[in-house]
Amino acid sequence: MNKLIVGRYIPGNSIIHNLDPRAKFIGTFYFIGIIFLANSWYTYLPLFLFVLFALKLSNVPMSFFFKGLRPLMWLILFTVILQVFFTPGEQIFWQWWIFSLSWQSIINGTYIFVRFVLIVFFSTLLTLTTTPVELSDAIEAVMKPLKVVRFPVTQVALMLSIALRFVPQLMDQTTKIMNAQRARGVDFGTGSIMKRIKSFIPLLIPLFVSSFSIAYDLSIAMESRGYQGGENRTKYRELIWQRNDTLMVVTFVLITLLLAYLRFGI
Amino acid sequence: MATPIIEINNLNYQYEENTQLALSDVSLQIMKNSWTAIVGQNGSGKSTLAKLLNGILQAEHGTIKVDDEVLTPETVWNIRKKMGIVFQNPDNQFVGATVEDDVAFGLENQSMDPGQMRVKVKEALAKVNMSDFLTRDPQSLSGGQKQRVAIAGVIALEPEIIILDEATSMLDPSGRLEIIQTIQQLKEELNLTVLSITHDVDEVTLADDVVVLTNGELLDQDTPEKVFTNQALLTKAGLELPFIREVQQRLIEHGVKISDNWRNEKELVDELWQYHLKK
Amino acid sequence: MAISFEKVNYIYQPNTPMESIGLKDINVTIKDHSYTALIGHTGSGKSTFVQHVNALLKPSAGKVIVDDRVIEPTTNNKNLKPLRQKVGMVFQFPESQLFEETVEKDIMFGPMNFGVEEEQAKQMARTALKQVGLSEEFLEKSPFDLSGGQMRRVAIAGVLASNPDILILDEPTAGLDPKGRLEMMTMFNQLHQDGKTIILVTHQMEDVANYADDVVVFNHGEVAKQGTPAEIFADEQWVLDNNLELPRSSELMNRLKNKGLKADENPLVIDDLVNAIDKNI
Repeated sequence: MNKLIVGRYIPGNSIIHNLDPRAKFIGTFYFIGIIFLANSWYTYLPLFLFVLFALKLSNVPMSFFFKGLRPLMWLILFTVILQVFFTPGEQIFWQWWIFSLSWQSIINGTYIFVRFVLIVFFSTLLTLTTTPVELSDAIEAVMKPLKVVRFPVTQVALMLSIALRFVPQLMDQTTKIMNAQRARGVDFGTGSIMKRIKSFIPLLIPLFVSSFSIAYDLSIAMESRGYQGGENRTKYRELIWQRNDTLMVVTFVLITLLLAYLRFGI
Repeated sequence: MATPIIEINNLNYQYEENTQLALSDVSLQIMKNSWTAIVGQNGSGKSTLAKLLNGILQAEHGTIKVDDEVLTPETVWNIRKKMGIVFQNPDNQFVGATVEDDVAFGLENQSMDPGQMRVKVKEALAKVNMSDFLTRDPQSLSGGQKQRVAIAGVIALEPEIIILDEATSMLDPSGRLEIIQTIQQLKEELNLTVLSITHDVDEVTLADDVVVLTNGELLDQDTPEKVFTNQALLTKAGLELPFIREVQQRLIEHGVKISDNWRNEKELVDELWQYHLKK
Repeated sequence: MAISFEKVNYIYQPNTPMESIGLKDINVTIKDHSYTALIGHTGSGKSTFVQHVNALLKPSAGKVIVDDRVIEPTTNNKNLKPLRQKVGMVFQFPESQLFEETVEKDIMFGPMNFGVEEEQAKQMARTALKQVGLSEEFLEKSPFDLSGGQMRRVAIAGVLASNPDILILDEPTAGLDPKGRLEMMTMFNQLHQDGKTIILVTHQMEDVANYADDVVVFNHGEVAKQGTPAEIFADEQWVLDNNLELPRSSELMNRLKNKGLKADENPLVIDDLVNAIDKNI
């Protein structure tokens, strides 16, 4: 589980860490949107520099971003290869059966690769510099308009933050139960598929049982501290929009304008 | 000290799956500003009593009055405000993702203004000596520290009564001591009434008043000294003697006849020393 | 079935920002048939230590020898079953490992994993259930219908069923009431007398004084001292410096000595305390 870099927060106090999570959350999706405007080396270059600059500002070592890339490496390679061999181009200099290779397809493949890397780096930046609590606050803020259609935003947000709070505890519990069953002679992850699936039953059932007992205890504790559901709760965490957040929005606008100019000449 | 803050009259409760009553005809009073220990073996009805007090369970028969207000489905939220509970499992009652979020949880439920909340959270954490842990997550705290956060969450709501539902039973000895000392100090500072459901006989000796339950019935309500010198009662309730009382009993069997006029280990030592000097 | 640790180091999550030391240069021998208590504050390395005995963790450096089996950093995960059959391990709150439909099946789970035939495993389950003081009528019940104390006994039976020579107990009485605690400790004492080596991880100094014949004190991942309970508890200041406490009998005796009572005894258990007071007062 520790290999999974996506979703792990690296504590820090950089400008990026201190940005409003709403700004970061929306900004990340916005970036993924505008990256599709890029279609040439001179449109990719400013985006590339922009991402590099943002990563630098976060003070998170580069190695963490490369680790974020690793689980997606196969997907990226597959897409790039598909792009390289199947894009028809004018100057084909190699062809075999349905595969063909042209300058165009190689360049396209490279662009796709860069696009992937930039997207992964940028979204990794979000999760590395934003605590799960802040993320769930940001999600709540983004969902707020749904209140109009009577979507229980507050409850869903509380549910999300409780779920995030209990993830580490359940991971510990998983390790503990696995160890207890290994001590009773279970080999997790060896033998035939059927055997492997079967070996997880002694892990899953106790996990369900303890999750239910946590849920039961927690609901009683919440009720005894006055939780009645509903929308009347106030929020301890207030998100405060600061100058840097506005600065970030301005940066995004400038980047968009630059891209539009470079691409469409307007 | 003389005014009762909790009055329980003829309380009955039966769990659906059981034929026996979990509580039968229990009547008792808890005095304001007292420290009351509720003892009894597993299955004696202690936890049922706590759940009834808090309105998690509803009695079939009998009444509970808290601070002159009868507990009904209408008054339950108001009564819960007056009565904070610290539960047994430190992990399973930690709602927030960080210490400050957890303490704030009860305040959020009361729709408190965020600015005021921040002040209250800081105050409550200072009272339990956890100010330095404001932004820590529960995973990085010891059991005792988590329980102190739970206490802060309770006192932030300024209750009259604090119930410890086996709150120290999952802690190591140092964590246990930490919690007892915190509660002792807060009781004085905030004029709290403490109700402690416990197995720990040493904790019981700290109480002003002991409620002894067995098989759902109230056996006795008295001072710890009286309870722990009543051998018949102890046997019936399946309680063990506190260490110091056991030492006394064994010494008397050996012919070292010391009096009952002491309350704690220090006084027992004094008593023994006097005995030695007189000899 | 002696156990020895030779220059064992263990590092948690090596080469990450979360790297931390679990064990540091541990050299310990635990004798065959001993009743060894492991004490030390929370996070001192006791639990990390015991997980090395049945190779749930492998040393980052050094070696662990259990009987004739050597566990080194390079030991692979195959063929650990014979070791795990010999070393039974009762984790804290072991009732959380129960999962089968019936008590019988749950207790048989261990022996079956270790390759015992079904009929024999059933027999072993009966024996184990008896050892933990439950009657045979429990065999067909669901473990989830039992009381907390009974669930714990069933879980312990599930470990005992494989008939291990070494039994590791990680705070086995946590959360039990005084009566349940005494019954359980008496049961482990019986198992010790029947010839098993017992390793008890505990915070209860009374249990150390009452049952153990050997004590290993951990502090910040290192072994601070190893000796008999009498040796460990002889120096009050040292005990306190290591975040431990004295058994209550020693503590009361020390208070009397501080008052001025002249006595040579350092009683660890209540019988000795009462005798010492009676003699010297």
